[in-house]
Amino acid sequence: MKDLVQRAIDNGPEGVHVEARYHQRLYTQVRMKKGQLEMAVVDDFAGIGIRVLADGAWGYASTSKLDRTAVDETLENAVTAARNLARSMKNKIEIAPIKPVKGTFKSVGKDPFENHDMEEIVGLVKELDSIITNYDDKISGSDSWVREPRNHRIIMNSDGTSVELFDSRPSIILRAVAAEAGKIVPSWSTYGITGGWEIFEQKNPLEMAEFVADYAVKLLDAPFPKGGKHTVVMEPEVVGIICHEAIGHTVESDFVMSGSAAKGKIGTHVANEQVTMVDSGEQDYAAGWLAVDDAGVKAEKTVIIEKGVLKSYLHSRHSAHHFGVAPTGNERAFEYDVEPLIRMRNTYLEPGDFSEEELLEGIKFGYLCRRAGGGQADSSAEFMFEMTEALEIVNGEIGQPVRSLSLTGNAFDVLRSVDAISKEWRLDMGAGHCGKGQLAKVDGGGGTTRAIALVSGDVGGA
Amino acid sequence: MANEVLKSLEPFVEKALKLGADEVELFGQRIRNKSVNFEANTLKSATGSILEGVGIRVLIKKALGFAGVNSLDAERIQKGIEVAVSIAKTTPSLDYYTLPDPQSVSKVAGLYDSAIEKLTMDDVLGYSQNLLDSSKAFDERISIDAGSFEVSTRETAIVSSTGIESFDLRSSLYWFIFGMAIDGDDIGSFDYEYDSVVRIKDVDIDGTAKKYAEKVLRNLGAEKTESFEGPAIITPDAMAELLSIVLTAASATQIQSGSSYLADRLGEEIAVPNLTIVDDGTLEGLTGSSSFDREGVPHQRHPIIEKGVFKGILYDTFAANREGLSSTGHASGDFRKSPTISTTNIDIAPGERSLDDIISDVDHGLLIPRVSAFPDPVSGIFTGPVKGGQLIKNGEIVCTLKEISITGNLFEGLKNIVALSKERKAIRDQDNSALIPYFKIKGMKYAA
Repeated sequence: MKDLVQRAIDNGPEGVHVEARYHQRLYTQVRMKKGQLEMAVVDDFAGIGIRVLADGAWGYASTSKLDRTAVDETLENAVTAARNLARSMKNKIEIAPIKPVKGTFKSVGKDPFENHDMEEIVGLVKELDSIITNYDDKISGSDSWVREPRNHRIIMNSDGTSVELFDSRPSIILRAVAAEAGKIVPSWSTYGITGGWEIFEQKNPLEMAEFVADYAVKLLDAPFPKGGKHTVVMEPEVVGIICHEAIGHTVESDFVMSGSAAKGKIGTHVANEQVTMVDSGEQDYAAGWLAVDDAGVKAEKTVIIEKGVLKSYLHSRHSAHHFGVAPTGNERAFEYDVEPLIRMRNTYLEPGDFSEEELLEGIKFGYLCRRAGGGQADSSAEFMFEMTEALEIVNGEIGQPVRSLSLTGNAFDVLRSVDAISKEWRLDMGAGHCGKGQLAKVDGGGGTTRAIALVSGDVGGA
Repeated sequence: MANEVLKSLEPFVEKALKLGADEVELFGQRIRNKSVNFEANTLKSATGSILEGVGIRVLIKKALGFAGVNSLDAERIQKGIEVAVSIAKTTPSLDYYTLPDPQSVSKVAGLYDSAIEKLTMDDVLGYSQNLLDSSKAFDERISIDAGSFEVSTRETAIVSSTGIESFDLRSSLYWFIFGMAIDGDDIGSFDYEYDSVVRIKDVDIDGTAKKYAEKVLRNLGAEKTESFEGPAIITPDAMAELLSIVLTAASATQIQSGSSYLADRLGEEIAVPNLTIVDDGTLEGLTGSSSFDREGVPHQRHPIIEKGVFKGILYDTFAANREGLSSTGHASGDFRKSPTISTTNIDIAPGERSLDDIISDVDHGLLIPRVSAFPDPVSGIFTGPVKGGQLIKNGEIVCTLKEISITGNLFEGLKNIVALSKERKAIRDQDNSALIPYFKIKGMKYAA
């Protein structure tokens, strides 16, 4: 396969920058809903994608046929597409130089999934489904889903990068639904890493299943939160979502170039001085692990905010050239048939000095935000995140759970209001994907963080 | 050429049975695509691709296995069958797992425009450039973060051991534009507009550009307000996202898995009498249409809510078998995973009043173009900031609001609809479409 990828680089026309990438994504999924097996799937999606920069325009083409003729045709299609487009380009695209990268990079864990057969995964999912379904008479529904995408990439470019990458990014997603007297509520529990079967040692799935069922039953009697501005203590997953959605997207340089809230703010105070925010691919086991990006650039540790001051955007080679800086290794493509875009990796807040107990001290009333569901942020950095697990804090103690809490506010305002971050630190949002036209596995987290945010109000009824 | 995909699948039914499958279905696709993309206010890239592959579903002793391969090559299909067979030997048997029998399939008209095959990359570039330029031409404050114009043709074939053998050909054009307006320090909320049609003559780039421009410009100069309670007039765009949870709740798998509020409510009044929602995948020239669904079953006109009464659950074959019924033709998905249930073309009956008329009798309320929320299909609850919200006072739109959130329960909201507009918007993407009026819902709460 390396020969085919190399062939695309070698056959690139004079003056044309070529990036070629073989990518196989072998995706195993088993999903069961209340005793009904919905999916037991292996999807093998493999091919070569070729991106060229010719006459100041990008061209992209891909093939699932893996032979020399197909590679030659694909290269030609990419070059033709770029040249067609170049004639209409008013602003020619240029790219920043890089140091070529060589080597093999692997993150498949100590006990790779390939050591475990389908029977074992099906057995586990059946057990989880049965735990949730039989937990309590009030449980009306269950959904248990284990998935493992396994990636093999060979990435080369005209600058001499030639790397091979192997990774596996398993995740587990559980949902319980409880119903009583016309009221029906879901609860979620999720976990995901880059690694192997040890995901189930890091987080016991049977305990997750019991938790999710128990929490759904508790939510039946839980009140809605009190709307308004509150002190919120956010655990790492929630901190990760704020870093990713509310700040991270505004510093993706394609978004900066079109005018996001972070434009022109490099060097200015955008957060409390306790806040240092990083995007990096280097953490073992984090779902956003990345050694080399799909443009063949080494994935650097990028400090976005240092002690409250905005330091860097996240770059492609093109945006790095535009801003006169070095590329950060953030260009990622989900599968072989799509071109790389600027994407985050693991985005997090550096730890602070507080113990988790100290964070709760002195809070008369507030909310502990433990786990988040969906989230969205605006160009203005106004965000909303839904919590799947949130509890009241009353006089410094953790109180009862609340239903359907969502946090809103302006991310920069919230970061300015941060007054304490815990010493304990983890990345903990590895189960989902980031969507930006195409998907990407990302992670995020940090220390548990105390801040002020707007909490959505009581809806009444239901 | 039209039968190439079908031909490459045909020999494998026999081969799968020989390998031990009791039943097998092969679903193949070949999609040719050309697109030109723009980013940060400038053209960026041109892409051309051919995506092909086969989804293989096998049943052994009524146990399910599935494999997807992105190739029509015999060797890869053969390997995929082996994988699917090996999976089916590990999964539990369910007595209602049998594949559908063949039914007479008639071609839905107007789903293929041969002129699309002839579009060159330069033509696609022209459309894309036009979308970018005409959106920006409205006002210099408009910024475009991303967008594209793409054309594709899709060949779909299905064969099965029960005797299904069908082929369908469809073309489509799809375009989208995403960004915001910026006026000095005022960065408006992002917004987007997209559309998809089957025939070149239906392309309306200027219409999309105009709608996009109006949306992002409207989001500038937003003001804050106090918390209040009052009616909401929800636009078709916002309603499309909210209503998707009602459609999810109507799916048989959601109901059978104990996760839907519509369980045991068939025939019950769940909305006001003027709400009628019909799904129909047989309509000519619409992107949600096809001659057969993901498992070879023809679509049908299928009322979901009729005059406020819950009339129709959406079924695929497995879910229908479980209740001794027939599939309603709602199996959907591509060749990369086993079928799931989804709608096709949704039609929501219009009301009798114009939007202006509906606005005119609101004393204090909000016109809601977008809600940044993840509505929960289990409980019906949605909560999040309103984007581009238009404050209505004394029957007139006064200003755009910012930092205002709405929280509500859509399932209850269906009983509080006080008006539907006679104007409807077609909201169409590559695989489904919806015709939706403006909804006026009373008694919503807004938190500032």
